[in-house]
Amino acid sequence: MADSSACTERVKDGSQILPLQRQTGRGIFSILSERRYAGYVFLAPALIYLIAFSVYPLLYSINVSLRQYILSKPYLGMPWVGLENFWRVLSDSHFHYSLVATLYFTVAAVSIELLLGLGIALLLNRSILGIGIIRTIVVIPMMIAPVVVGLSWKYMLDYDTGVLNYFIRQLGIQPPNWLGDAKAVIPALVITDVWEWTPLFVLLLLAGLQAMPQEPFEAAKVDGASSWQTFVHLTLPFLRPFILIALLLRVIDSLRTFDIPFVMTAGGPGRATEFASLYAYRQAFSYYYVSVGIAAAFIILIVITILSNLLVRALPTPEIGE
Amino acid sequence: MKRKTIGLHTVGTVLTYVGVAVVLIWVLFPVVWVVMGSLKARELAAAVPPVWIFTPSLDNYSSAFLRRNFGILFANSLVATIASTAVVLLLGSMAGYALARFKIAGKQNILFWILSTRMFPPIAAVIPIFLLFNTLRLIDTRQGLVLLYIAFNLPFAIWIMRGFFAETPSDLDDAAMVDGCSPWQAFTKVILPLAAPGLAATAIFCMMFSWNEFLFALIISRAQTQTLPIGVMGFITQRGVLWGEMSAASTVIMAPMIIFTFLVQRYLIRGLTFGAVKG
Repeated sequence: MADSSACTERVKDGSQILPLQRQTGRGIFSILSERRYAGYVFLAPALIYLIAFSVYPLLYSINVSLRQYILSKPYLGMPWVGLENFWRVLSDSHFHYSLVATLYFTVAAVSIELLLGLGIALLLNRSILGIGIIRTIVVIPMMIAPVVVGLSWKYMLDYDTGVLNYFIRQLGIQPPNWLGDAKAVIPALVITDVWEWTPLFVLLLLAGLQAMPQEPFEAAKVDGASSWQTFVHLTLPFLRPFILIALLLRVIDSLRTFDIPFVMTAGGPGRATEFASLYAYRQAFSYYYVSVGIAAAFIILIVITILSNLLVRALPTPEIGE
Repeated sequence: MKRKTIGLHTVGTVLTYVGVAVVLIWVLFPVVWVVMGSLKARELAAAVPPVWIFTPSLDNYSSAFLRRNFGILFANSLVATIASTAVVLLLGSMAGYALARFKIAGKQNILFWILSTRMFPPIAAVIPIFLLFNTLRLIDTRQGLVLLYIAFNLPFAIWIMRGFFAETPSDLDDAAMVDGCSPWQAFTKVILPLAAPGLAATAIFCMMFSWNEFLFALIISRAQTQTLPIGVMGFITQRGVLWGEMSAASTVIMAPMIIFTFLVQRYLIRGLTFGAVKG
């Protein structure tokens, strides 16, 4: 309550704040003292900023996506071509491949992250020595810049000099050329993504486990349920919303993944890791077909929206508002 | 019978510790390996077999920062991070307060729209923004990067601050306003101090997102305004990767974020889920 006394005290001695109030009633900030409008005034700057940075680019890109615009040939102008850019992307076999590769990467990475994350969360949901600090350390990978994560794994996965292949050779196994072989490269990116993002599942599922009420578990124990039955019929259903939120965040994020493949493979070898975002980036900034790049970005946006809506359907209604 | 249960219990505890050790090695090995690489002499950084014991040297750091101008990149990153975070905190906490406390027409729609701007794939936003910035001559300026990072972090700050404000009891600002404070005074003098820990956590998350950001900087910045994540790519050369210097630069990029992890550990869940889950 001590904090609220600042204005209160000045009001109580009467002299200062009341005249001040009347004065501000005519000033520029007068509207701030009117409670009815205050919410809108507080909200306006941020909202205007966001509109400028999202609605304008959106309208502009819709316009450009329907025209031909080649960055390296500005003298061609921007002739109207209708939906041609979209047909061009949709009929490009490289784009088909990039969508399939993105989906493959997403499904592989996210499902491994879920399983590993669940296992690690169960492991860390015990009171052992130093558990607080262990839980924080486990989170570190996802706080590191994806570029740095990508480069670190590029360092470790190098065919000749990488430390991982050194260990594999010590076991007497011929290691794969992780980043140079089209078959091994997506698994290599999946390993990197799993390292960076399993912590998100650990964090969320641990939060779920710790919020779990104790009584049903005690009741199950009394009824003689095995620990597997308890896990399947009590723990998992309780964790469902936490699992779904983590899945939603990760699926959206991996479908638009860019940084890690860009630094680790630049889309290669060949076009093996040219994921959808990379495809759009290359169209716009390597080949300068800006309008084709935008059309590809719109198609990616539609795919992400559909897939995340399917996931949201499975989510319980999020609590929002008062 | 009793002895058997104790035995099982001990085995379980040992397995738990073994499991935890494996997890910690998996999490920490890449970080430790890169830090070690940054301290190795040039010919040892990618030696076969890998070198585990060596005399540490700071040559890679001095090479990166003195010969390759990483100091300027560091300054660029710092300016972009701090300037954008300052603006985001102001605008974001105001909007968050409005959405937590006041009657606003279409509030739910506004909230979802704000969230959707962040869910937009960056690649879809970055092409038109590149064209716009090209026209406005904002390419290769620090201002351009700051403007972009504000837009990038604002939805996050609004959502998360709204959550923090919703948790402060509303009788406090109500009382302040009844007592004659304007809504602005109630906000700055009563509510903001109460939400200070949340504000600090939000600041740290915004700094983290900007510091680590790659795609926007890749497209907006050129030689003069490169940030650290772009500069570190420069160690991938035609003649191979300069692993030692790359590790040194990587260490500099990740060190502050690892410190931040410990500072915001209480708010990690909230921060990383947009406030959807309150840990």
